[in-house]
Amino acid sequence: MTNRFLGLGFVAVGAVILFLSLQLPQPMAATRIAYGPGFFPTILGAVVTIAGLLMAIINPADAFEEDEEHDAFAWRQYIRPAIVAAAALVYILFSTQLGFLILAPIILTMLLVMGRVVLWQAFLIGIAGPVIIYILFAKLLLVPLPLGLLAPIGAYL
Amino acid sequence: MIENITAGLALLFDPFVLLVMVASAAFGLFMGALPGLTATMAVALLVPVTFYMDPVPAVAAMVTASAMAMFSGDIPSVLLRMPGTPASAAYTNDAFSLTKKGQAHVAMGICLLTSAIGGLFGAIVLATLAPPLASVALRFSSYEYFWLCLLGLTTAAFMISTSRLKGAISLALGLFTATVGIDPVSGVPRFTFGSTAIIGGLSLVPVMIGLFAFAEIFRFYSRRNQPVKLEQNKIKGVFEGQAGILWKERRAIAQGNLLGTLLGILPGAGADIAAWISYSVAKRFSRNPEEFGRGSKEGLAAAGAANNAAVSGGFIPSLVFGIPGDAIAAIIIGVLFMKGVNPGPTIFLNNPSVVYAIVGTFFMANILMIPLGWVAIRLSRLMLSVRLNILMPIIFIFCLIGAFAMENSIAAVGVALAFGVIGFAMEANRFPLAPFVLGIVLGPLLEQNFLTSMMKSNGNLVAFFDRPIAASLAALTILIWVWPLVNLFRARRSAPQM
Amino acid sequence: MNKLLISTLVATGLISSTATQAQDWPTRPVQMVVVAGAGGGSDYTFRLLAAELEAALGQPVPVINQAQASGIVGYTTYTSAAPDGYTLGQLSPIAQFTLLGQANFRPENFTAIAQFNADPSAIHVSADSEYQDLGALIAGIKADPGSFNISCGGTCNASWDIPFVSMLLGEGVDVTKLNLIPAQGSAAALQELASGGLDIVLCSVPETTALADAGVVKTLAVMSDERVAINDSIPTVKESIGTSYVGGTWRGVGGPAGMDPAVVARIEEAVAAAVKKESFVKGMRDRGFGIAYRNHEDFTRFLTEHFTETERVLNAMSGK
Repeated sequence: MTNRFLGLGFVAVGAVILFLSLQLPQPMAATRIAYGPGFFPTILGAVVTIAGLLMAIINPADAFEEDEEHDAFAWRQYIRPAIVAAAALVYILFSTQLGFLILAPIILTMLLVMGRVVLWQAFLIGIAGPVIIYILFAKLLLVPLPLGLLAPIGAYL
Repeated sequence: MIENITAGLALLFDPFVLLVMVASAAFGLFMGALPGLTATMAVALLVPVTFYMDPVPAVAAMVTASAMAMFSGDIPSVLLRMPGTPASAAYTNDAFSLTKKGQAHVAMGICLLTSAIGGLFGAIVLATLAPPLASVALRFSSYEYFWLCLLGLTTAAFMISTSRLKGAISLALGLFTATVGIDPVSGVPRFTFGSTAIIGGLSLVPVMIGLFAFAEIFRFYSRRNQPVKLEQNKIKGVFEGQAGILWKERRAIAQGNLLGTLLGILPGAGADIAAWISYSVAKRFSRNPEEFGRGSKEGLAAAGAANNAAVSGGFIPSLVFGIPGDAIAAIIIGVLFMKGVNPGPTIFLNNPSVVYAIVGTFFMANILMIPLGWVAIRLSRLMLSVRLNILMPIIFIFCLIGAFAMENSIAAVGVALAFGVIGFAMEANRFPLAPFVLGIVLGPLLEQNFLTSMMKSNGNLVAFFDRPIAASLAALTILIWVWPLVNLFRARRSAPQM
Repeated sequence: MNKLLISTLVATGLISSTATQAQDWPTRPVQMVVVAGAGGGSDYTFRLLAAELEAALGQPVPVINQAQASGIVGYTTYTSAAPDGYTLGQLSPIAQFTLLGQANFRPENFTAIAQFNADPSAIHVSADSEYQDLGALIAGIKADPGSFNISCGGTCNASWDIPFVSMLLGEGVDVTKLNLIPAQGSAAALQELASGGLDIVLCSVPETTALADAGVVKTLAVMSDERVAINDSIPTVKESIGTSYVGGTWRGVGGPAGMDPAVVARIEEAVAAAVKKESFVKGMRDRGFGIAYRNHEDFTRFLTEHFTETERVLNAMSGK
């Protein structure tokens, strides 16, 4: 993506921020102040819009550093990060219902397999890891990790 | 006096207290070293554990854990380019660049020793100058804080090295991120679209986990030829040549100590802001500013000392006036109250031995840091021996928990994921992350202090310059902005004569 | 399809647990959602109470801190949980969230189980203030309501400032002109007071002990019927100006609407026993927290009154 397109993108982002900020209510009656909740975001929206516009016009050249990883970003390269993001999304949506001890081993094993870890190792780490983490955080440090389906036997976990 | 100190030391050198300190040191090192788990979280998680302890072991546990976590947050910065705590984020690029040059042990050594030095400096100030400095801190009202925030943002302008426009966008978006949620001044929910999930705002820890840890995991999986192991295969001689480096960077360390302690004392600032400001001030006055961001030992030393000094300094207003200097001190004060030890001027009269014991824990914790930190660095070799395709998924699980545990809310994990994608995209398009993070840290302080100042002064802008400290800070800020113009003007004037 | 399966599983789990709930409850840990951060006052009182409940109920009662958005997130968490008695939470002043349009809590969204604490609001000025007693201060505010910078000691329109404004209303002050300023907690407000940026701070008495001992802050009056134990040299409002105005914050155990009355009765009983236990009473007193018990019935009625009173004050302030 060129900086020109990015600049135009930020003009759009800035415009959205401006639009939303201007819709925020005026200062409340109980406070005698001329600046409401929209004051600060409005400035920020304007800054983003102007900076984006300048970027689209000037198209600044990047000072490229020798960095081997940035060559040729093909769309294939985004597949595996997308799977990782999807795994996080599944955890966000379903961990409360399914529980950490059910969902985490599945996700961990899957990511390990995706990273071409030998199958038996992946299963071993995938199951032992979350159990150890659960004992450490939920039992010792009392972080309320979701029990989900295991809630009925929660007294024993 | 003397008998109070002896009584305090007796409280401290109790076998149980020492055991608690070593255990919480290990815990703090562990929490800091894992990306996604922070120093503040380590202390918060200790609250229930210390509920039934005596005051001295309880505070010793928290002080030790926070100091250790503050240092060990640097370990994943060095090895994985993932800052373990927000305070480490300022110099992550420098630390990792050194690793790339095969100098991981140098980076680790600087982080460890400057952390200990900073912590000890803060402890000395705490032991000797606490009451007068706390009185000065009490002079800071919203006007002074406003200028301080603006000064912080000004220094950010000097941190942007690649593209100024991209830096400005990054900073503005960071400031914008901080406005999401209920506006504490007007009480109006902003940019939440009616959802209660983010009504509390996008808080720093999940955002940091996303921008750094998640983004790095995404980057790892996007590579066609994944590196099997970390590039560094051994970390030896952590202390080798450190004496020379520390001596060479003595100015940066001294400046980090001072700035860190002072910013720590001011209620509301704290270690995160201290590290950023110290880093950018070091860059501003450095002879080699171009090295910053590419493995500058100077920047590493300045910021590494500052964040630990701030942890010690943050305890000064807490102890003297019961007003916490930062989030960590706030939790520790709460625990002290619980134990019936009320911080405030009377603590020096009612519980002098406890005061000396607490001050003692700051010294102990920072001295213990050197051997225990060395062990942690040696152990971090384990991280190197584990293949990355195993390490990354495990870190991923820790990030899920870390984002959740800070607020006990699954929405925070969603925030982390969203910012992981944003961080990945920003990095791919060469947007600097540093201004973004600084924006999130300073944004709420800047806005709230501006608005409450305006409310107090009935919209009269003169009030911002009316008080001596505010006026000095204002002058300093304006001077920093105007100075380049003055220089330019002088260069023009003198040009014809040359 | 998976989602359907899950909801069926959850539903059947619920039905079976409701059937056996009354006699068996609790068979697993009972979560207590506290709408404040770890280490604060609310956290402390609830951890004390949780220890007592644990002993009485025979199951762990883990405290879960959800402080985001002044507690709105925490309230939402437990009111939207299943009313099976396994998710309880802190119930403190909430009407302002609804009235300011930040959330939509109504008394009927809650099961108000039992209240165990009340802490009066108090009126603090800096030690060198020209107003050294409440009568003079009220007269000063009456003369020029807009000239005072009054800190709410936290978010505005909440537990500390509502009783104060209610008092000013009763004394005939034009409250629409008041300059109420929000703060990031009472510590930040007191810092502002000490630095000379504010005239009045409203918060509880224990929070100011350190600065009062340092001779920086003076407390003019406390808004309760009797003087507070932690510092009995502070007069009540009634002693200062002759008329009684009381108010402040309060803490109780609540749950989602529609809880089984038998379960409610067991929790109520456990709280009633706790407030009489030596360990609990001592723990509360040591840190200056007042004990005030209200049973299920009284607490439910009180919650409705709290909404009416808050609405009255807020309407007066906005000139309605």
